[in-house]
Amino acid sequence: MKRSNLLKLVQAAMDEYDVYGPVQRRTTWVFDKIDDPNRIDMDYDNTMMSLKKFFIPSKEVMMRFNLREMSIDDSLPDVKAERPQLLVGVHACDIHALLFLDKVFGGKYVDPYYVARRENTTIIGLNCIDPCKYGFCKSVNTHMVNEGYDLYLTPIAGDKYYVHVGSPKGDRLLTIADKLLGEATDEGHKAFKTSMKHKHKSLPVGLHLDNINETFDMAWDDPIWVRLGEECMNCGSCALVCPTCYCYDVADELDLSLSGADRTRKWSTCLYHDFALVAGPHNFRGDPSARLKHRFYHKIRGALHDHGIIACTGCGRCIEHCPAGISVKDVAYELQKRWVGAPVVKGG
Amino acid sequence: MGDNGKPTVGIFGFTGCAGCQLNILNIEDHLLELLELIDITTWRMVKSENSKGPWDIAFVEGSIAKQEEVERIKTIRENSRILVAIGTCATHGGLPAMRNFQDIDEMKRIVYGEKNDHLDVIPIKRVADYVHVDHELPGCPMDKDEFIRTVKALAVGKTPNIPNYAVCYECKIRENACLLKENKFCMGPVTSAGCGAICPTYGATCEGCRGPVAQVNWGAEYKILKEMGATDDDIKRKFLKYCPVVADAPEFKELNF
Repeated sequence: MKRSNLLKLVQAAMDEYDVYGPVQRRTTWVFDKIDDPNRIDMDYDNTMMSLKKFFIPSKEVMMRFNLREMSIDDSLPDVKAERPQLLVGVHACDIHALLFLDKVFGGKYVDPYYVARRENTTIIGLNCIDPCKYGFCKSVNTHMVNEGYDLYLTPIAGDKYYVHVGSPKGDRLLTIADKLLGEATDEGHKAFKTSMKHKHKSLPVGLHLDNINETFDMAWDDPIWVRLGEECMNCGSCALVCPTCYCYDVADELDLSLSGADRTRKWSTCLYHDFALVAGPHNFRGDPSARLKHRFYHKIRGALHDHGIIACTGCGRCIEHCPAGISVKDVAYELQKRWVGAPVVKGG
Repeated sequence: MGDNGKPTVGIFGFTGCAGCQLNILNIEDHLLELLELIDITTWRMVKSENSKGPWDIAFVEGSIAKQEEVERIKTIRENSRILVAIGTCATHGGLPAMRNFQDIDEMKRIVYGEKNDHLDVIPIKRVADYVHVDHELPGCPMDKDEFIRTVKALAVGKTPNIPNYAVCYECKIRENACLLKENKFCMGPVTSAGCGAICPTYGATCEGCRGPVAQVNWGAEYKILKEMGATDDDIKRKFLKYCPVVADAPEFKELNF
């Protein structure tokens, strides 16, 4: 498909979908609502906020209730009735993040709000054939996808995309795009291989996580946590921009009649003082450095235990947006080096 | 409780610009609904006939800047069941307290001339330095919605939920590009949220008006600003601008300006 035809596809899809795509904002990019397809920047480095905002909004009313009327109004039917959303230009790391969130919200305990939005979403992925500034996807094996996309675009020579179709939803899109893309030619297959060779050469590997599980078993008392505790301000930026950090807080917001309320959930992060504060008052992680350490342990050791994979997709957002310059990549590297010997870095 | 079964409320102003009281008056859309919940028996800015107490809830705006005010705040405290400090002057000293770092005699002379013995001037402190404060709503000015939420919470006997996490929370959610990354001296990471990150959203740095977050790490913010080229004076000004009370905190003294 010609690159310019993607814009036509988006234009045509807008009749049916709310379309979101990467748009530049000052020094970063955001996934923004697209009314004019020309705003989409498919050469974007990375967005500040990940796609989680489309599935677990930063703030949402789950239900309203009224004690005087003894009524409950669940917002799930409204969520299900939302217009389908089409996300354009989603990098491989972010597709992996959604697959991880699927395990959390669609696994043992199903979150119907998440699942409804997920089912209502179509994803056009974008293969990164050149590295981004802070990402390290190849170090955590998220630089390629096997599932989780509906269409997947690989940029190839001649200002074109080589298109993989990943699902019936992707097929559905193709019916809209009927004349916008044709069957791949021999030349196209060849260009795809060239692009992929380029990709595997250009994406760096700065870290190997072969022993990360046991490293974290040993690193509980490592002095690094004290050092990082001095640098970290517990501002929570890392967790907010993280595509797999999913913690939230639920509160009832009373209306002025004092008889009804909105049961509201909003994002929270384990970096915050009140996160593990309970009656008493007792705080399970009262020390700021304990909260930072907890986040690292949950992302890596905890996620491995619960879901068999680490909850880091190597997107690099937390590194880019940490005001103190703390890097999960450097921390993992330093700990591995100290506890199990220098990781073998395979050539890029 | 008043005769009508509603909690009686007094709203009081001390040293400040009176903007927080005005902000209560600005809750035009919901003011009448609020009056269904509470009975405002004292509010000099608005009413000509005012009760002398007691009150179920006292909302106190402004910093304590005169000996006379020390006595007044103690009287209000004695006559109130719950006392809520509203606005940064009341919660952290606020802008008026800039004078704490100047030569007070010289300032009196400049403003009032040589005959200034009658002036009742003491170092500015927050309300909590003199009396027990039950809840604090910081901000310059205090946020209207937060005030409404607080009234609702107190009306049903709950503890008002005032954010003590960083402005970065609200700033990131609004997907603002980070001003620190643009080499601007932003106080977001060490300042309590609740403002909706309104300043950074419009490209202006956070000035710290809502006071420090819980367990603030000034040392880390100091290091960041220093690396960006801020001088000690720049940093001190940032840290103390709205929150002069910070100057007395041991963590602040450790910074060794």
